[in-house]
Amino acid sequence: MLTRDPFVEIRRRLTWLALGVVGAAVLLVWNLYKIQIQEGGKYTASIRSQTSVSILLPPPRGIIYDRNGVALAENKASIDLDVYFRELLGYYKRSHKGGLPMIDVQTSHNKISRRIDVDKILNETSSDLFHMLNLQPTFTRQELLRHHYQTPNVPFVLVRNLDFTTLSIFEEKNPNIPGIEETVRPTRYYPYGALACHILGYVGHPEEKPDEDEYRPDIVGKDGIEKTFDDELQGEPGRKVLRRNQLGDILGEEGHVDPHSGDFIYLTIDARIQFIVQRVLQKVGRGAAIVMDPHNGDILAMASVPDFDPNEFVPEIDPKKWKELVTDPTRPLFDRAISAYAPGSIYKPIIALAALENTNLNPRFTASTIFNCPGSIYMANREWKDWNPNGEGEIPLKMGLAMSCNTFFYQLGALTGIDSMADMARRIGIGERVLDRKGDRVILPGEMPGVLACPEWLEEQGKKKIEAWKKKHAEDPKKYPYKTMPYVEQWSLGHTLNTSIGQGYVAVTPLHMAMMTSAIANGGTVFDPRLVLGTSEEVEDPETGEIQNKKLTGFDTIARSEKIASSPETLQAVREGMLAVVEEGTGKRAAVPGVKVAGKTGTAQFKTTIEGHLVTDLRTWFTGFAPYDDPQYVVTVLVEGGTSGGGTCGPLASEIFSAIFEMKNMEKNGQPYPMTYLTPVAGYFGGVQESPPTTGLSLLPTTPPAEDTSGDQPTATTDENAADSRFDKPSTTAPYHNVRGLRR
Amino acid sequence: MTLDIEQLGGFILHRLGRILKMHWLLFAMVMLLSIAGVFFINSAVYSAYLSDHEYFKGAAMNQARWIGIGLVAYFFFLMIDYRILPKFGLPMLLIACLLVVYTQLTQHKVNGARSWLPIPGTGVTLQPAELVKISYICALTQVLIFLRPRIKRLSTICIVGVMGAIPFFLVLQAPDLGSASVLVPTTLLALWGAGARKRYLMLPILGLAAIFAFCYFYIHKEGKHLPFLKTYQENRIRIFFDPTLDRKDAGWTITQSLIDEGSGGLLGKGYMKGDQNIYGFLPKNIAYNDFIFSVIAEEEGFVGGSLVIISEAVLLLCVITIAFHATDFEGVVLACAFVGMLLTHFFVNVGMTMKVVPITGIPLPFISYGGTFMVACMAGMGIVQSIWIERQRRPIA
Repeated sequence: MLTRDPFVEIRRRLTWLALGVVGAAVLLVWNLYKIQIQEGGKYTASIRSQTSVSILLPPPRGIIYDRNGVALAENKASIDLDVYFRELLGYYKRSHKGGLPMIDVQTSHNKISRRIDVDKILNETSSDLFHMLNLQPTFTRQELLRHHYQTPNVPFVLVRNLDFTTLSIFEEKNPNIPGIEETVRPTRYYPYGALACHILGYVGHPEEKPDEDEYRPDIVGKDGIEKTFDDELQGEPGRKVLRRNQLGDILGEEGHVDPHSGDFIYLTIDARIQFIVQRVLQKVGRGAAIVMDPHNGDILAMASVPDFDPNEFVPEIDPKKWKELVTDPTRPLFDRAISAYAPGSIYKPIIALAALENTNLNPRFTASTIFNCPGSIYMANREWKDWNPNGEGEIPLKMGLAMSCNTFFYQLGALTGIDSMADMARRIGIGERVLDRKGDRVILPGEMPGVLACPEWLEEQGKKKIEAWKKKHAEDPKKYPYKTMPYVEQWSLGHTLNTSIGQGYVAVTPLHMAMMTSAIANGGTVFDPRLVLGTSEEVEDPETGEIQNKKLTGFDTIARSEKIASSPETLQAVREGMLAVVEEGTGKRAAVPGVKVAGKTGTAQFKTTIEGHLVTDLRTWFTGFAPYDDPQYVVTVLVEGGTSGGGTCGPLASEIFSAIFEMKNMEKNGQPYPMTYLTPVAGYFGGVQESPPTTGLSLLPTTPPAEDTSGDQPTATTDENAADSRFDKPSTTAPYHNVRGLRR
Repeated sequence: MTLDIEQLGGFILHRLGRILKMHWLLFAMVMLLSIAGVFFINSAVYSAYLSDHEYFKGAAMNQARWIGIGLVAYFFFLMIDYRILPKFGLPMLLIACLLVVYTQLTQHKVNGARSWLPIPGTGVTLQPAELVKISYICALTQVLIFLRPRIKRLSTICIVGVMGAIPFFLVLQAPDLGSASVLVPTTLLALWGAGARKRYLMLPILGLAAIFAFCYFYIHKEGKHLPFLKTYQENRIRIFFDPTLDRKDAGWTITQSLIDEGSGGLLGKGYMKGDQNIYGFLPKNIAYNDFIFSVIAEEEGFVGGSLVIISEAVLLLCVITIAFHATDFEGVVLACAFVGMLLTHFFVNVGMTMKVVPITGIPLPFISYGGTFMVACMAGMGIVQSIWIERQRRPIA
């Protein structure tokens, strides 16, 4: 105001101005602080992403070896043609004066999003190249756009596995389109094709997960050892860090980390024996075979037919082929060696062992105990037939086993009691997964536990049925009234008798039977089967730079604590019986000239539905060991739809034994065993017979019964096992009431 | 008139003697910043690429030369009585405006603007816009002296506004929104120093705030267009609020600037070691003038950046101190106007590298590369020194 001293006012104003200046400076310093100190990390990180680009170097997958170091699953170099988007787009931009074609894309949230039309760009730049190399693009436009959107820094594979000719043309006439380059990648290769395919499994691309943007391996195991040991097999990707400037040009390499190969897996499998077994099984339509070392439970060979070629899955299985494999009724992807089946007569040694071990029997059952075995026997209010209508007469255990006499075992089973038999079966591992190391790791997905038929099990089943019914009843009482409550089966003598001949609810896997045979062969110790010897890692010696194998983990041999025989005499009785099977009994066709083979045949009744028709589909078995005096090998063979154990599986076992001994001879003489690429075996429904009585038409050729009736045929028709439930089975026949009545 | 050697000699000695009376701290700050500027420019133009390097190689030396010329101007204005200047203010402004118009009519665009006028005979180009800033200050002072009796009236503000609008729009045509807008705070602070009523001064400030809010809500949030704004200017506004809109193009500069500064940390990466700058992430043509502060922050870190800010602030406070001691109206007004000009340049230049203000192409006083501006600032400091030296000559009026 006019009265105020202007000088004072100026002073005041200037002071304010000074404060303003200080305030401005403070504001700037504070902002600087915020950017440099507080958020500095964020910006420094931005630099990294601007100036460096890292390229992942895929690691080679670990090799799977057999016990002798033969590679069963390895890697070979695949030369692919990749496109690096940034370079390609930069090139396109430069030659098209900055504009990039855009396209509207429907995203997963039903929004339309504008994205760079990589497909068009690629088409324009590379269609000539493709034409020149005579290649067809195998990817879809969707895949291309999606890959560019999600992982633009990861190269997209245009063509995989260029053959030599195409590669030469590319090298010679390379039009040098920036961004299109050849890359060498390791791909999975199975040098012997279908050899051990069910064990090895197969590989493929991982499931699509669009939200993850971390490193996802290109190939993961999908089945078998490839899957269960996928973490070990994967290895560590390497990385190449390149420095670039703001134009995107690569200035140089900043860092390089070599990829680390995956761990190696050593299986107990002997590739030569596996090869022998698979060759022998080639004539079988559906079946499995196992060769085991009785000293320690190592699985030397395990095969299942029909099978597949895992090479067809690399890098991606043709969708048509996949559909074929999956819808094939003979189920080639299915590993029969670890699936449960009705054992039939090969279960009898367990009965014998149980009886011999059972101290509660009075008088004790011994090798010399004689039973009278007619053609049929009346027990549990009905007639139980032997396969031989004339019976065997009065025979000891040895002959009972040798002739696989049902009536002998009905009596023996009734005598011993189900508890004793169930205990013996439990010692062998029936009813549990034997490759699953007590929850440590599931070695083969899909291994089945089988069924340990005993009163407790039956009670469990009954309870489950009631529980399930109760649930349904609670939800809808009108549809499921009380009168629909299922009957609970009680264990009866009839169940025991069925179990005595390996029918009824009993279900075992070929692996269980091999374990049993091994235990009998080695003097009574039950070993858990071992499929994986261990894993090892390649390490570089820091001093010498040499590559060495470092053993990481080993899987030990595990012997079960309970033996199957407490004294050598009891075991000897069973062994003698099994020798007699081959020398004079039902297993004559399993004999090998010059070698003493012991074993047991089995033929289990089963029915399958094929194209709506119920057909008889016998499960035929042979399991044995050789040489008798110093057992080296246990061979177990299963054939679905065979004629009889002795007739179908015996000769197969004989062939396997002979070939193994021959191979060992060659080894002694220093001769290598020749192995070739195995092509997959196609399955067929051979050996099935139309099941009488059915209506008229027979769609399948009925095979005439074999002339050699040295196999056994059970006469008791049975209730189908719950364990074999994967196949189409007929609906459960009328529940087995506690009703005295005819059962036929 | 006969030439009296003695009188002339005495006159010259007397003038030279004024040098001894100058405000030493101000001089020190000026020299400190200028010399540091030369070094920073040298680092800023250093590039990993030969081609860039060749093109910008002589920049530091050029700047040193301009400092030399600037010092001549500095001492000249220091030695004369500053009171002469307002007398010639308006004519000076007129000449400057004519130069601006001439430049726009005859020159072709360089970097999108017609801002440079080559001086025939030398290889040097001049920026008439910078001359406008200086001459405008003198002209403004002249007008305010005239309007002093009516300083408290609203009409004063309006007259000044009209007067300032002419150079404003002329420079705006270049197009050079940055330089033009410097005139506004300069005017405001000159009025502040002259004693205009505070409430009247609030009007333009409120107007600016309204424009800012308008920009924010209308342009940024709603995305509407303004007919008279050029696209790139509008984009500048958009990018200011959200640089990620166009990281690759228009938003690139500010994103890079932030990354440069942010990655500098406390102590920076070292002289000539700022890799963002070396590798060209910060475009070379702005690294050594408009965005020199980014380079400083990257290489010298928080410590270096703060020192520069503090030095500039100290320089401004020196000028305010001088205003304090000014003995007459024109002294105060001139000093305040210079504070306005320098403060605006300083705050906007540093602020735009930090996303505090939108990007405008105005240089950092004494540090940014730019000859005309350096000479203009030096001249301005000379004038301010002259005010300081005169403080004891006349009693307080």
